[in-house]
Amino acid sequence: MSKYKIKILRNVLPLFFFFVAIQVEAQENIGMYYLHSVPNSVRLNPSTTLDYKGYFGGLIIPVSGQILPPLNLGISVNSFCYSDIVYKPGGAFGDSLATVFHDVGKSRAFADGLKPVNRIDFHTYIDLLHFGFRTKNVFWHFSMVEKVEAGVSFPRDLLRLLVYGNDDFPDPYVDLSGFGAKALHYREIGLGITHEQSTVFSYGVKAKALFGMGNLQFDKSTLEWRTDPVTGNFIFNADFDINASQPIVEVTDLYYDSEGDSLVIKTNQKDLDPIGYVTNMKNGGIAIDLGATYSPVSNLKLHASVTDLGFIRWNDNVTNLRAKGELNFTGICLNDFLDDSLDMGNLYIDSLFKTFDPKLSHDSYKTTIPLKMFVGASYQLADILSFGALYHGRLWNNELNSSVTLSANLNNRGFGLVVSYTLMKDSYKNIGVGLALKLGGWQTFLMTDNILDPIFPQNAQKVSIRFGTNWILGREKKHTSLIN
Amino acid sequence: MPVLMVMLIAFPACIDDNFELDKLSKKVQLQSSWAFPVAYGSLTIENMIELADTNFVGNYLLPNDSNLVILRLQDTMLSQTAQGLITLSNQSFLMQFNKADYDSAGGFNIQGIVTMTKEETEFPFVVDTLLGQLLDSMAFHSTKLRVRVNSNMPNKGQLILTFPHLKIKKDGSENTYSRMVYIKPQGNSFSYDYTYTDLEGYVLDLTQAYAGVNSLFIDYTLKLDDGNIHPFNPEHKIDIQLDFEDNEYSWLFGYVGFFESGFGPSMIDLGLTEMITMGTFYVEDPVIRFIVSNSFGIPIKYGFDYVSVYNKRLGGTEPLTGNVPFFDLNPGFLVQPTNSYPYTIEQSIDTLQISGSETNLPQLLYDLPSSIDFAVKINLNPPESGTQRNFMSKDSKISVISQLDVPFWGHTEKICFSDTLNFNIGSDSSMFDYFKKVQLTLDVDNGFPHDIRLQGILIDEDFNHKDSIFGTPKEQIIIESGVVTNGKVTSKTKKITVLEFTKEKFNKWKDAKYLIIRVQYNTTLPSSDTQPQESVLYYRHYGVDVKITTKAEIEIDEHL
Repeated sequence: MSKYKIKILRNVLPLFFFFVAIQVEAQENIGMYYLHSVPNSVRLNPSTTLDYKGYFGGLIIPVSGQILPPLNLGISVNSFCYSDIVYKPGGAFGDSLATVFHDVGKSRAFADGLKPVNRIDFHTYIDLLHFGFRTKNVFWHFSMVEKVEAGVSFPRDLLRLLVYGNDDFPDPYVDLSGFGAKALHYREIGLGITHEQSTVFSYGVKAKALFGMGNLQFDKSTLEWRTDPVTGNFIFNADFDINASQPIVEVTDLYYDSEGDSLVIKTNQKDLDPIGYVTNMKNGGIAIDLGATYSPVSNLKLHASVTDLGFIRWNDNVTNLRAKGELNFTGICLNDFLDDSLDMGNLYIDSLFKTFDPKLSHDSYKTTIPLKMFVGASYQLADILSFGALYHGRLWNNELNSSVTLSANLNNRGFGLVVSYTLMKDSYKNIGVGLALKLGGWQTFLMTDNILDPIFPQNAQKVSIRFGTNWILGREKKHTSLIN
Repeated sequence: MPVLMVMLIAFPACIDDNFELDKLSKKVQLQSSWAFPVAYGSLTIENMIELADTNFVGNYLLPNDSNLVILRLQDTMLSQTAQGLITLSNQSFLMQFNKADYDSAGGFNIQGIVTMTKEETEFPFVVDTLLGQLLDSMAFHSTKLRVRVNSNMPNKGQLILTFPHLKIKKDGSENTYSRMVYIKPQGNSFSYDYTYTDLEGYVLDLTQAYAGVNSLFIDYTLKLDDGNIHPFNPEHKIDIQLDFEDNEYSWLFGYVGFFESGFGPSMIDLGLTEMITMGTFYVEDPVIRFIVSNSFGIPIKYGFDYVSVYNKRLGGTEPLTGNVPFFDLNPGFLVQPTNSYPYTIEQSIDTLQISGSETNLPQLLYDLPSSIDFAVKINLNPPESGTQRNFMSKDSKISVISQLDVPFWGHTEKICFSDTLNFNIGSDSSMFDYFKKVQLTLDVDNGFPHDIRLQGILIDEDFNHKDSIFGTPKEQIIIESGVVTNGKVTSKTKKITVLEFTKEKFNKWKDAKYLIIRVQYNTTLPSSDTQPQESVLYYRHYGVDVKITTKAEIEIDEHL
């Protein structure tokens, strides 16, 4: 038996390092929801019951925390993958690769197939420390997690503009809304409980204090470009609302100097204090996780949970930039050439500036953190084997991403295995695998929601991976055995 | 485990082909169509003239109530001030008292006093004026009277200098200019040097002199005291020197003399015509005007020595004929102002206006000449006026300004402007390879009373024809004139012209070095050959509205 386990480890580890080496894309590990042998599953549903007495782990735990740091990594692209851009056309190209821009029809089809706003998102969660212990029917949980969310976005019409031009554009106007970037770095310190109220019902709640480190977000990014088909005049409508909290540079003023004919941006370069940055307590926030599990009939459980319902208020090193206006461009005015003193270039920059009227301020603002919702059901076929169905919704910046996952789950004394299939909008090839191994009190786990992406990275759009190490303490008698 | 094994084997195989970027074809093929507004504007006649010369509107366009475009070309033919005509030079007057004068005065009397006088001593007073002048008086504006007295005698005394004909009226009485010098020797010598600057307002009467000479009379009175011990020895003397320096008069009266002079040659530059390569313009009613301002109380005769019109394009000069004041034929005589002494002379202004119909000027302007050249003559106190008493002040001035007013009122046929511009799309013209077609749309609302015919010819450095912008070289783009009724534009005429430039055309332009722009204008042409061409009026607000938009089709088929 032990030989078998060692063999497994010998095969698993290279694969693990392989995954580490090609870390590229990821999303939240939904398969973790039913992997109850791993205490980290409580993060997704605070009402999840664990069949041991305690656990601890985290980056700061000596040796185990550094050998296999507890990380959750994810990158997603919402509308295209590598093979959409680079592929093998075949035919006259032989075995050569070509970009989608080698052919007019292909490039237009590619541009038309993009989403109106295309995003590349990244997140990483680093468990600094977590532990839990049981007292009678209550399991106490503590966690300290460093979370980073980031992303960039660009509008589809930017590429469509390139391949069509504005005169032959397929839509009445060019919608360049959606340019932007977002970044969110905060620390979460949470304390929660799971209460097994009865054999059929448990609930959990976790209160979390949030400490914002840095933020950038485009609350509004609207830019529309219309071309009059008769006169050829341009009409630009723009509306931007950008907020940021960062310790690198302070923008103190922004204005157009008519006398000097120049755009003036006054900044103060700050001395970045890394210690000060990571210990910044001025941008505070709160969040709460809620969950419930109910078993209406034997072997069937219904699950529901909401996590990261909260916000952060940014007060420190804040910069707000707002700009809104409509610009009509009808060409160069020939009459302006009569005035030799006019600098035409600066004249139009001045007009642009006055039209959109950018306003700079330093007012505190509030951001919500990505909210997650889970609703599912699991059927316990055997003591250690169950099948689950789960809806997952992620809401952030008024955008909801949904998915449905079907999984087969095996949980036994700290050992776990989950195989899942996740269905997302425009993505149907998400087969996930999760594995947890326990050797004595030491548990390691690894999981991904899309095992095919590393195998076929050219088709990968959304991949996430989570791994880590826990120390499991004691073992509680299973409730099912009590019932039996 | 089997799954993992498969992954370990399959993964490298699966990614291999798709990530061999050294096999990536760099071919790029794009087609896009772009439209954008290039320029717009409303240009009036005034704007266009400003474009040619920013100073032209303020300096050359004559404002008028009807807002008609009237070009005024102006030149100062003659300008003469009093300071430049008559000046007072520095002059010195010397006198000495010696033993002979002492003896003539009878020597020291019982009181030891001797008084020596020299009255009405006459000195010539030089005035740099004209031939045959004889002044009768002048008023000093400023002068410096330097008095130097040197004596080698130990005797004290006083010297009184009196100018009997240099007087000033003050507080109702007339005062004669007189100065006293106290002689107080140091030992056997005495020296005195002082400059007086208080002669402003004094009038010097020059009528007491001999006829034909301007003279200054001075009375010297020298009183000496022997001090009971100092006789007048033979070697003793007293030298007196009076210097009049930096002399300026405020008024002169009398006959200033005869003066004759010529001014010029001068030129009125019709530079706007330089860009015209052919064509004519008949101008209705041009006007020549002479504005004479005179504050000299002197008879003045004036006139042109000659006036001619030079045409650089045709290479010839033609004289102006007609009712023009030529000096030798029909000179003009300036009106004299009123003597307003001691107050400023109010200048008299005389305007002589000659309508174009009185001369051959319309015919000379028809061929659009380059300049009008002329020279002027004047006589002061001409023989025709006889000998008169003249008057003038230091501020007297005479000026003659000539004006040529050319109203933009007339007609033209085939007046053509041409200019050659450098044209170089750069050594690297590969950018143009990406333009499949460019379409330029000119939307012009013409509010001028003339049509506009455009063509642009591209030539290489050897002046070989490469291409023309609008059709063939002989073709033109024609923008019809505004609707004209009774010589006035009543509404604008719209013309939309679409020009298409293809890749083949761009290829022809690559070697071009120069662009010859030809613009031709015709005012409204008669409906038949037997009818005369109507003259049209150009108002300053007439203009043209232009809107230029472009569409470009870009085609890229490249290997990067």
